[in-house]
Amino acid sequence: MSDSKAQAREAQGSEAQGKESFRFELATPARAVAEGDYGFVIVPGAEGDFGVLAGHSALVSELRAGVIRARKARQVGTDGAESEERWFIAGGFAEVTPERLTLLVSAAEPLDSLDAAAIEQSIQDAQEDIADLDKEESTETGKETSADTKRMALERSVATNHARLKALETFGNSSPKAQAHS
Amino acid sequence: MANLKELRIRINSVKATQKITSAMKLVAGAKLRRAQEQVQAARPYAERMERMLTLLAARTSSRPPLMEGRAVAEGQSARHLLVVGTADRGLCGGFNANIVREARRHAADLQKQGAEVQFYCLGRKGRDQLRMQYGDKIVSTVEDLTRPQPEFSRADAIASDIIARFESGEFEVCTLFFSKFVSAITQEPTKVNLIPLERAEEATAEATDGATGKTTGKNTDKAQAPRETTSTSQADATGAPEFEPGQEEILSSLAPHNLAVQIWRAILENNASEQGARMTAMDNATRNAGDMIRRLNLVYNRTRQAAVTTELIEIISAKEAL
Repeated sequence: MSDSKAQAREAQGSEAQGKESFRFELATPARAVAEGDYGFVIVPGAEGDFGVLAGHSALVSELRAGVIRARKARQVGTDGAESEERWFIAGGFAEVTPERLTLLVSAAEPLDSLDAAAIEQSIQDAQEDIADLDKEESTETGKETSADTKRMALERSVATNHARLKALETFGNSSPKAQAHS
Repeated sequence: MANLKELRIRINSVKATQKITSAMKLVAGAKLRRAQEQVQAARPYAERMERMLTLLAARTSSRPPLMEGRAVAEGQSARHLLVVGTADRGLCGGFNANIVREARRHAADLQKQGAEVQFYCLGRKGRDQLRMQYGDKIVSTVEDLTRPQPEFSRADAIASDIIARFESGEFEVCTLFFSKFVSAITQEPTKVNLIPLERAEEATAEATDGATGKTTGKNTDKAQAPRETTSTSQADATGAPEFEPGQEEILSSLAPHNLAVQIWRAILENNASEQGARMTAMDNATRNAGDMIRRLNLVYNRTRQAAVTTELIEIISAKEAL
């Protein structure tokens, strides 16, 4: 098994003329967000973040809410942080092979497009809606199921929004574009 | 002379209709282009999903019931849910009727075998056409899926609803009907098994089998064989991948997601097919209106000429009589 991996790595190496890059695909149901040769990608796996370089061993992982950080192939070696592409995802799946990284996510939002104030507002709205649902429930217990599903959806959106905020806190300020805005 | 006036009114009315149909054709053409782009854009995700699912399913021995289906309870008849994807609007030729006919045929086959059928309509036209025959069997209808814009969250919500119904034991088999977009003039009514899941290599076997609507038990037995063969070929190609968390956990969250993706694909393909069908239908209507106008104009001119001639003859013969 390790033989085949080494072979695959070698094949990849000679094919790309020694360039340490791999095929990176980021797709949502609506469209392919990013596709190309990348050098280094950090992925928020369900059991911890992991970085992917060319020749990574084969892996299939679920993803949690977090930030994908991707650097183009030629930027490895130089200080790639400047030109790093960042997306927030709410969850999805990753498939890694030595020569390819495929991310299937339900939505990918460029980190620069997130607005902390708007997110906080929507968290507040959702929490108010949940409080309203609680009040309704105490008065009438007839249509429990629809209220339950609504509540679950709201709670999920709150959790995602918290994850968005955390992502902004961690990475938002270091992004060159965000700095230019503020 | 009343005849002449009537003809004129008729010609004007056909001209007005022609204006509408040619405008609808243009609108459908523009929408078709956008819908086609969306179908194209959604393809990479669906393909990769398929690949991942195949990889996982080949390696996992215990697959979730959503993929495998569930055996029919002893002494009960199998229950089938038919998800019928149509358009919300008409004036698109045989588009809606073709899909509904396919679903009806499948339902009739199933009922002949003693199975129970339920319908889940995506699109108003499907419900309208099925209501006469199966009024009490329609469990839910979703409308306005493509207005203003097809959204994946809608497909996701529909999938969750179907899964909830499956898990509460309302049915054992789920089949999806929609129209595959081939080209602007060709749309292909298509049947896809959602539960248990139908995959590429089974699809061909399924097609030769025809729409016989077997019970769940038989279906899963047969599906086992091709899956085993893929597992060996895949292992040779890539080496055994690691799974985080376990393969079964990933598979059990991937399977419902796949259902949503299948429905999403059906919505997009249907949307493109609908616009294509409407464009073709309106093109024909415009041409027919043109033919009709030409015919009516001929009759109108002849009638007018006849009237002129009669008048002339009357005047001349009156003059000669003097």
